[in-house]
Amino acid sequence: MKNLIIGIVIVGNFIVQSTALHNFSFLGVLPNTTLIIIIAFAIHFGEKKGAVIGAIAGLIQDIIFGRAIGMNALAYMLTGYFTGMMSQKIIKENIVTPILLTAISTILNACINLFFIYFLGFTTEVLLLFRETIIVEMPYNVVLSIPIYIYITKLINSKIMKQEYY
Amino acid sequence: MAKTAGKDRTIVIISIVSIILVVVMGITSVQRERITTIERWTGNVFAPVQNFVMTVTNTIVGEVASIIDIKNIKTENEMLSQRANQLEKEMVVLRLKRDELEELRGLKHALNYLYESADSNPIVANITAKDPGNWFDTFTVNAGTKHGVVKNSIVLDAKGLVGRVYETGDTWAKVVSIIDNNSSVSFQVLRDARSQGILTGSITNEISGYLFDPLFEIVVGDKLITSGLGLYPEGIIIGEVTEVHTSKSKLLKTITIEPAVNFNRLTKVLIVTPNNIHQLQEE
Repeated sequence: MKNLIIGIVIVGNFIVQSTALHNFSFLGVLPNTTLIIIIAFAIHFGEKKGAVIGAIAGLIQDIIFGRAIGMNALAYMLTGYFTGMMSQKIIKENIVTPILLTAISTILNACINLFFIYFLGFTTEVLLLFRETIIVEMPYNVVLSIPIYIYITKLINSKIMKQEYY
Repeated sequence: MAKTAGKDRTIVIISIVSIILVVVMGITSVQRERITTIERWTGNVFAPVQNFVMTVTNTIVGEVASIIDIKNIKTENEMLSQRANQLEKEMVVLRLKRDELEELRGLKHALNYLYESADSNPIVANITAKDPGNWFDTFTVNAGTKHGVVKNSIVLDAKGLVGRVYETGDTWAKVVSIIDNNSSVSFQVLRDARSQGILTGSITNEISGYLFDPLFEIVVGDKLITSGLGLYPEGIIIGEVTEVHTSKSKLLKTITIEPAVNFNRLTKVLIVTPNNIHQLQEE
């Protein structure tokens, strides 16, 4: 049941993110809800599940939109893994945890992605992209991470997640 | 002890998967002739759902926007009726020109001059989803190989050039827009076909480029159309020049343009497939 719910959240988020979320761009930048959700799951379930969830969510995005398949999968997998590792040392109940980890992970995710964007020859304006990510996308992600983290914590603690069948 | 061993194994698995993903990335980073079955089916499953959600969203956004914009409707109405008058006048002139063009086309046919830039049956498609990332400007449409869309088909809007088809699935296709920082278009200035250049998209969603001839006096407001060199056929409107910048050291005239298409409000596109003659030339 747990895995099914996680799958539904990931797929549902992907569909909403690629369709409805475009009406909420700020300074031409969209928040990365996939990343925020991966981080929230990684904090609760640890690095192994974080990595798996990240890889699957990234693969979906790569297959539907990607120019090179594997770029998002790799970035999200590593982000999920490292977030899961970092979160072991921090108290999960504190709201500062997702805020801090979202900020760090946004940069980590951007670094991995931009490394490949540069070396696969997609663009040379990597520094500009990185600056835009830090100035606009990171605060946006951080703000959104608070409600999303609270919601996912509620979802994980709810009865439906603890049902054994499936 | 067991815990450390488990951790080591996780790291090994992560490393192996990472290497596999990097290899896959290298293989798929170039534009491919055909996509794999997994990709095709993932797309086939997601496309209809995304199409539905997108349609609902667009309807709601459209309704809300019209409520907010109710004050502007009157002024817009006046503006549009003025524009309609103006266009009617232009239409008379254009009709004369069209007759002339048809005569010339007939002549062309009689002389066996084999060149048709595109076939005359464009495919109408809805945009089903847009890339959620901030680094690429890719979107998917609800038309694919079943509808006759092929790789490198040209994507248009009523106002101008949108982009090109990158990959196709059964009922969906991936489109790379011209504002993507990885796409480039060769242009010519509408009022003088001899002055040509190249435009590339950028991360800030504006298109910039340079002229081959730095001495040509290009001004703000000049309309640019495709030149017919490369992928896009000649004569599609790209946009208007908003900035001209001359760098003396490089002997280059760089320009920034505003695309004729409003990419934020784009919901429907036209897809024009390259015709047989074009394909034969490629082979």
